[in-house]
Amino acid sequence: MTSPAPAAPRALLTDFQPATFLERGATVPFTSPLLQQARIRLGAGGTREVVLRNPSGGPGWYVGPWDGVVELARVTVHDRLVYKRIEETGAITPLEIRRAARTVSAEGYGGQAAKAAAVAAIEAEEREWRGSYATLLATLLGQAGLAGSDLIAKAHSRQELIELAPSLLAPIAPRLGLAPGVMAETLEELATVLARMGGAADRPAQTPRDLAAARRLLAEIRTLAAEDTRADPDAVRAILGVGDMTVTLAEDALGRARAEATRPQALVMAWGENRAATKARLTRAEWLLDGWATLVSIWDTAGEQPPGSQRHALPEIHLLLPMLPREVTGGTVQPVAPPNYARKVVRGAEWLAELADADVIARNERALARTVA
Amino acid sequence: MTIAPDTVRAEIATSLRNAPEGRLRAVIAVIDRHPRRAEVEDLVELVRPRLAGLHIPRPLTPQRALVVPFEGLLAGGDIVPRDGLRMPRAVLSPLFALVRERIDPAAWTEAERLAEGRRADDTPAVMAVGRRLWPGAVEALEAFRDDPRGIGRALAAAGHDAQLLADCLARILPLMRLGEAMAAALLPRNGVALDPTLPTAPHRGLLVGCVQRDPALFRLIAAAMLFRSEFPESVTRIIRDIAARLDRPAVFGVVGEVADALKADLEAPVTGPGLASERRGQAAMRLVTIVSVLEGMPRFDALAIEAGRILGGQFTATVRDSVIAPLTALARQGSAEADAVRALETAAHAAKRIEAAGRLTGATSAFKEALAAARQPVAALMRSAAQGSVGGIGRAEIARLAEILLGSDEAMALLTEAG
Repeated sequence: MTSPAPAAPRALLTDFQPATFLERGATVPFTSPLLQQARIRLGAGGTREVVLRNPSGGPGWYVGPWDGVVELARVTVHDRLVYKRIEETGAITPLEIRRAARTVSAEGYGGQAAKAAAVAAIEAEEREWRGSYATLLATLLGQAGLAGSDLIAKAHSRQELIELAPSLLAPIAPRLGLAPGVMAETLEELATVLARMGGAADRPAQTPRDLAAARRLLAEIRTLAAEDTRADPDAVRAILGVGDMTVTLAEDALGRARAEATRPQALVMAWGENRAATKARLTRAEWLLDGWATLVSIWDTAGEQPPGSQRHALPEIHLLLPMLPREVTGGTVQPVAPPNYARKVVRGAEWLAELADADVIARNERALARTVA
Repeated sequence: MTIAPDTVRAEIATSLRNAPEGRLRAVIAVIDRHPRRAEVEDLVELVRPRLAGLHIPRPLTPQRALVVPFEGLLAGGDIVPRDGLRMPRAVLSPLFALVRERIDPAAWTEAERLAEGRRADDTPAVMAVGRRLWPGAVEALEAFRDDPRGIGRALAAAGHDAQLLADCLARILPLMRLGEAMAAALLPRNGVALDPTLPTAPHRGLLVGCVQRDPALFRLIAAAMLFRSEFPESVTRIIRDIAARLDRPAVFGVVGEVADALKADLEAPVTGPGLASERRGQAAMRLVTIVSVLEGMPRFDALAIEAGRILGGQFTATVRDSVIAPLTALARQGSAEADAVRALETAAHAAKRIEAAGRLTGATSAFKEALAAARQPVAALMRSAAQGSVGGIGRAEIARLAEILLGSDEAMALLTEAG
């Protein structure tokens, strides 16, 4: 089922400052403690690599082949199936990874909460896709002075919309030098990307939800730091430094992508000319916020514990902080080195380690419910 | 037809145990807001492990702060302890009535004000409320000690079990006198349970301070710590050190008493499926943690062997009755509530805790046999699920249970076998 264990060596990087988002990779929502916040990325020659925090809790990151990553340690059934799904689909971006993980969660392998969240998210995404597709289509027609909104409003399913599009686009497509069918396919792909942004403020989609959650996390950490002098200042500084920049950039990226979505004709052209660059622009906010859902979940879970627990969660959040690539920081942000977060096993209580792992998995499953939502 | 109050309470308790998470949260919120919630606190106690698992914070009340000094000696849930150390929770009703009646009203009002809006797991708030109450509670208990008949009659007239309070007085009063010190030892500090071996922890000082002066008090303090501390093995080491240093092996007797009490808990009849296995799991962990640091002492080695035997039986029963049987029943149903599936996972995790504790004692065969016995029905259900012939529960849910019980490698193998 899984690839054989890799023969290629794994490298320990003591200072991992990726140049680009692609080099940073996309977070895979694994639930096993050892694979927490693992990232997948395309390495040299198009081979997939995994970036892992030093599993010992010491400084640095391990970078190595993605193949066989689930053979590194005893990992959960959920993680093995997510790995398999990623292999089957070739997922590599945050959106693709999230979708792959979502299908596994929807089957129930991530627990009941993640299952409910994933099933609801799949339904919502379909709804959002239809909304995005219909909006793109209607805007295109409207801007070209053509009728068709009534027909679009009557189409209630994805299939109906897809079947309707070529005939409606027939008068516009030649002006853009495209066949109606090709243009309809482009709209399908664009709708998939834009559905994540959502339009209606009362029903925010994935990316705005992630953004709001990250913003709340930072506000709560700021409040905690102001009220509790025992909060780890290094952790607070690092989280707020990276977080504020992430949120600001994500807000900006989301705003730009939404603005771009209001000009579908230009968007279709841009997609045709340079699909990768256009997609990168439209999904910039998603790349920026990738990994933050887990941090929010760690924070919220600590909030349900006795007072003081959130303060204790700060070093772990610091450790798991998604580093910002140099393409957005310009290399001006020097990351504050996270603390050594070595796992502590009390003398004579080694036998409890497996049970402690079960607790961490349970917490990671709560995070999963947020990630796949 | 009149329904007996006990029957009503039993039905409410059953409903709470089986309530879906959302409904349980709503019910607890209503109870917590009710001005006479103390009257149904024992019902809430029945689902305390579930509340802890769901991380439902409880509000701080004067009553909750009042019991902290001797909480370690309160039996869990509806257990009626047979040992001479712990007390049934029923003692709380006459205690609260006595204290409420005799304490300075201003102190009580101040305690209520300090508790308002705070959580029961907020240690500084608990300490602040407790400081207002413990001295007054000591005075009230001393008055009861000095005039048990007079005050007892008043309590009995109000419907309280004064005799039970009188029976427990010798255990509550000395610990209440040490209210602040006991609370400092037993409550988490900065959100983290306090390791008694830390130099700043008050445990050693409390124990050493009374071991020669008042052995009876030493026994109570030690027992409260052993029953309540997150680190019973550390408390055991401290007691062992004190006994060795003073050359007074009798001091060590309390560890044996606590271990025997925990062993009795393990042998107690089952009163409720999920909860019972959860409680047994906790008692098992505590017992084995304590005896694990005493290897080489014949009495405790024998206890460890006996505990291993009991745990093997408990594990077999828990897997069979709380996981496999309900799983099979769910599979026959048309659909399964998410909470029913969660309950199965909770039971499976509890079983694993029992297994971990049991294996530490050296017992392994019972666990191997029980797991081998569990594999067969799980594999059969998995095959049925793969063929779509299982109604209420899916392949994923079965795989997760297999993963908890048998490990992820075995669960993957079962998934693959089922196709």
